[in-house]
Amino acid sequence: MKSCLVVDDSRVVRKVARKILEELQFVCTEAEDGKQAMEACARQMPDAILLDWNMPVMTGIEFLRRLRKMAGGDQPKVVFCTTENDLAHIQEALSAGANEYIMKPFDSDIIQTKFEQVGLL
Amino acid sequence: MDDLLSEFLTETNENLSVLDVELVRLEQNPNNPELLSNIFRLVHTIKGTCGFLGLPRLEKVAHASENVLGKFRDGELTINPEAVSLILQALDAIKGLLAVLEATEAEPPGDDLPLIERLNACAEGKLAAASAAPPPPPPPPEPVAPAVAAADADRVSLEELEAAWNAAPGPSGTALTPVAAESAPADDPAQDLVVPEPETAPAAAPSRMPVPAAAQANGGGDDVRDQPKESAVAAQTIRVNVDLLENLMTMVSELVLTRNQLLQILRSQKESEFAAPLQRLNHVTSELQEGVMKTRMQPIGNAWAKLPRLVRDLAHELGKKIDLQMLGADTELDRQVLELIKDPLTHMVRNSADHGLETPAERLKAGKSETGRVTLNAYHEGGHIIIEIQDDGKGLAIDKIKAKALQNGITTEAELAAMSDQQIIQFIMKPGFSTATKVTSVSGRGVGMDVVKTNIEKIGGTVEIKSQQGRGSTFVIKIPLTLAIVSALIVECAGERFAIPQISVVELVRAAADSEHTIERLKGTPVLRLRNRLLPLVSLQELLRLEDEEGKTKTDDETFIVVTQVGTYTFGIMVDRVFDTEEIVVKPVAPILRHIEMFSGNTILGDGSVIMILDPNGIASATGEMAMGSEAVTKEAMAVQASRNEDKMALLLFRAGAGAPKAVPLSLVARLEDVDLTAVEMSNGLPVVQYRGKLMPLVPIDPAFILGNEGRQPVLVFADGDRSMGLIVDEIVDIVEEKLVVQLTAERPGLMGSAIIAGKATEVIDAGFFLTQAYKDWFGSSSDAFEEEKTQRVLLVDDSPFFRNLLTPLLSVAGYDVTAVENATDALALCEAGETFDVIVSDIEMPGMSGFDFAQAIRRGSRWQDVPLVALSSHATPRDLDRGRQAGFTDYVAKFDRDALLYTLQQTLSEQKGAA
Amino acid sequence: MSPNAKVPAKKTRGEEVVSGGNQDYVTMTIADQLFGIPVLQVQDVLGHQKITRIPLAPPEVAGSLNLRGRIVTAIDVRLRLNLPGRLRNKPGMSIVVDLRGELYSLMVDSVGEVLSLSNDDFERNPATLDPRWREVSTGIYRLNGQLMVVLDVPRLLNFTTMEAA
Repeated sequence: MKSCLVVDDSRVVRKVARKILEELQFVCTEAEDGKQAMEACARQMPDAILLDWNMPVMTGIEFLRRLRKMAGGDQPKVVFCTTENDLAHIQEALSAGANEYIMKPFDSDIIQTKFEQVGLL
Repeated sequence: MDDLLSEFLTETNENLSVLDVELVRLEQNPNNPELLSNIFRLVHTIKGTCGFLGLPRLEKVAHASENVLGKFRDGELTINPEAVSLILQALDAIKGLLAVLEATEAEPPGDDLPLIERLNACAEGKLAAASAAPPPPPPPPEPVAPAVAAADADRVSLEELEAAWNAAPGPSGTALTPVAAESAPADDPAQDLVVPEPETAPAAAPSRMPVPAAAQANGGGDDVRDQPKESAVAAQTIRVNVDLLENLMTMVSELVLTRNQLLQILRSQKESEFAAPLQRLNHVTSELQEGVMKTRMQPIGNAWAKLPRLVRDLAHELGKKIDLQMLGADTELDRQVLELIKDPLTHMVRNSADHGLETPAERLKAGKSETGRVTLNAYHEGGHIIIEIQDDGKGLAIDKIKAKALQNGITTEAELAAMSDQQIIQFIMKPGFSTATKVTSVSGRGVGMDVVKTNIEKIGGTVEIKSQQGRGSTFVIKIPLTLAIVSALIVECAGERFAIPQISVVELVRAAADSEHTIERLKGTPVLRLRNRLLPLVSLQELLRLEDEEGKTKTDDETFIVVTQVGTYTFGIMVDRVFDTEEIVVKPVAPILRHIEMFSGNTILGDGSVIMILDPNGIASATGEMAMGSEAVTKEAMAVQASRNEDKMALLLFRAGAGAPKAVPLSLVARLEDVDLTAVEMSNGLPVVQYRGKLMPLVPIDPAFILGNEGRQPVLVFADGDRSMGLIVDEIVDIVEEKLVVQLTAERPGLMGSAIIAGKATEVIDAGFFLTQAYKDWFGSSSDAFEEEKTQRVLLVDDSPFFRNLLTPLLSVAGYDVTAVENATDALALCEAGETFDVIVSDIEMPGMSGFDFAQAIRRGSRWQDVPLVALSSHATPRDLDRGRQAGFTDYVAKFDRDALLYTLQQTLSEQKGAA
Repeated sequence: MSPNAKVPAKKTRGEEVVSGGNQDYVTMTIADQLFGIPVLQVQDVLGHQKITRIPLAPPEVAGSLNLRGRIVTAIDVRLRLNLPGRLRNKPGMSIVVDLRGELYSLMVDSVGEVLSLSNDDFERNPATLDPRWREVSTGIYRLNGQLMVVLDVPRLLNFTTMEAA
């Protein structure tokens, strides 16, 4: 089974994501912010990362940059979440190493489509 | 309710609470980018999650707010109070929507167009002036207490819980290894760790340890307490179901008791192989207990979280400027206690803001700064947590309180006249009391302070109020740190043992025939004289209707008195024996016994026996003295009572012969006795009686009085050294504290004069006269030719003739040669005249030249420059003492403490001799 | 049941305690009358216990005792039923029940066997039932030569009227 790390400061979002991903046969782990995400990746690099932008301690993009510098950090497919306000950041994210982006709120179809696009499914 | 929805409600409400605090801080620190980005992020999150749950109405409001905040963040809009108010309003609107959502599981129909328009206008910099002072928003329904979601899930530091677990060596290693995610019962790893049925919890807990698992699953949790600025330094936290914690607590308590029992058994064994392992168990149990107790501890800041917003809104509503300071927010206390004081604290802060602080204009006029300050200060002190709420406002309006008290029929004019300001203030804690002229929505419904007091006393705490006109008021709450395991004193009465919570015990006094304290009876009520006050006593045996132990008759040999304090009322509980202090687990009594006020619970001692825990509150009520207690002065005042009450003295009232009632200063009386007339003998024509191994002469007030031969006669015993004299009286009437104004008359020997005492014309007797009746040489023989030492000369300076008359014989008896003058000027005249003295005793408060001035005068190079100078005063605060010393006094003595005076003189003079 | 129990639990033919048509009752005697309490309500059976008297408690409350670390309130059932108290020299036994989380020890004259009785034989209180038992009884069983009164524990422990006293 593939693994996915859900990184978002909202429990609600993590819950929704987990539900969707588990149905898609992913094993999920969660992180509340970039720092926890780093630690999770250090323990075990996931196959996929669903990444939020606005987080305390360490933001999404900060984490992304560091991730890609880690050993094995180029492996996980990173799909990051954005709201329409962050359109400006999409380019920045893609340059920093994100594979794809999705809009919030997302649902199972959206996730499924995107994950297929990046080759996770 | 849908899991997701309840999670949303919990999370969003939490975020809203944080936002309240942060926005107020932002208003005060507009240039803090961190604050701003945090606020933005939270609102952004709220908006985001609304989308997931399909809540368009909420989303729109959040979105509009986010816009404004975005402009703040990008520097396009300046942060001003109007904008912040608007955002706060939006948050309130969201809170309102959430409440409906929780109740009905759906958003209310309708929209928030006006609000959104204002928000948009604000974002465009076009905020209308009219909205600068918006009408106060309807009080938002209290944010959904997550009773819905995992009733009060606790945030517990991961380390603490792990430490608690690690301290208890598990049966096998499996207890601590992380269990794979499958063990978590599907639903909600984020919400409840384990959702055990309460019955299976004890068994289930050791075998399931999802704690580390959840930690892994969540990737650990940052400490998201109410002050997220600490999130940078993250203590890992997890969410734990409250029931689980309660179970843990109960189990640990049981463990503590069992440990106590084992230790008890061990104590009776000399050598035992159990000793070492039991010691280890003992140690481990203590640590476990400590650890688990900590999980119940929460910082008091959690109860203060809503206050910044509250105060800010109040300030706006009332048109005042208020600065709220919160010190000691991380002071920890028991979760249960925290819940109970949240509301009282809020109420008191509201009071300060509403009634205490003045408007800026008033403050300026009073010479204060425009901004009023409310300070909350919390700290630990000996097993308690002290919370002070202080404001620098105008203080409590004594006149209004008086008026209201009269209006409510709580007191009478006469009573009021006799009360100090401090006593009058206590009225505001009486039920139904409120001095607000208008019932505002803020405070003033009159259900305030008395409920506060009751709630706090229910958990064993106290509330004290201090106030200074024009300067401000301070409320001080003192509450025990924890409710579950308390220290208790074990006592025995009529063969039964009882526990008294240690915090209630002020001191222990042993009263026996041979001890310095004895129990005296005043009109049938037992009392104890303790230092300078009379303590009412209550017999536990009588109160609990206990019968004497079988086979033992009650001897009066020895009684122990547990001095206890309930609120401001101090009294003593008489018991037979006192054991030591034990840590006990308080268990509530069975429902059928709950109505018995005397007990606050029961417990099992180390030896396995069940005993009741006494409740001093209940005891005080039962003795009907609560009424007295509530009007009594505060502890501070009581201790200084004797020295502070403007020449008030304790006077013993009695009847002797026909005519007016009589009085004598209580401090002169050594004992109140009841003499058996059949034991009276005659010696040299004077009646005497055996008293403490010596003969004590009995002297009547009226020389024509004839003593009967049977029955009992009350007698006032005066003593000095080993000589005593019994003054025969008919009846002891009372002991009162009054200001003594004696009109001096010299009508009869034995009488100093008359005064109005307790409303009646009373004759004040001259004790000295009667003393000489008993012993001609009581005051020293003037014809004593064998004086080898030069008698010490004492100068007594006091404007009160009463005191001069009182102290002169006292000092003479002690062997001094006394000269008394009535003012400092006369004293200085003596100095000029070349008189010398060995020591000068002077009053402080005198008309004309005060004692301080007098001291300074002689110290300035007079003949008496080096003469020891002792101050006599009714005031004895540290400040007075300092002042005295600075003025030149060698020592300071309270006016009514004759022993202290004599002792001080002796000391001072011997020092002087030594130095010479 | 604890080691303190002096009563053998009788099960009939390996049936479960509460099977389709039967209920097991712990029987006891108070003032020569036989009573029964459904076995599931019974926590423990105790012999003579050291009881701490509780000052100011209603007379029905004999005191409290320590049962493996839990405080149990001892109720003198005779007094509760307005019967004369037990003679001092007769020690008596107790049945421990749990009511809403609180443990109570019902002091009775003696405890008998556990009887398995058919639900069909359960009868509502007949009109001729001694009025003293009626208030605290849910029904009766007619046994050979004896009446067994089924005790209603919650009603027995309903002291509200006495609390006020």
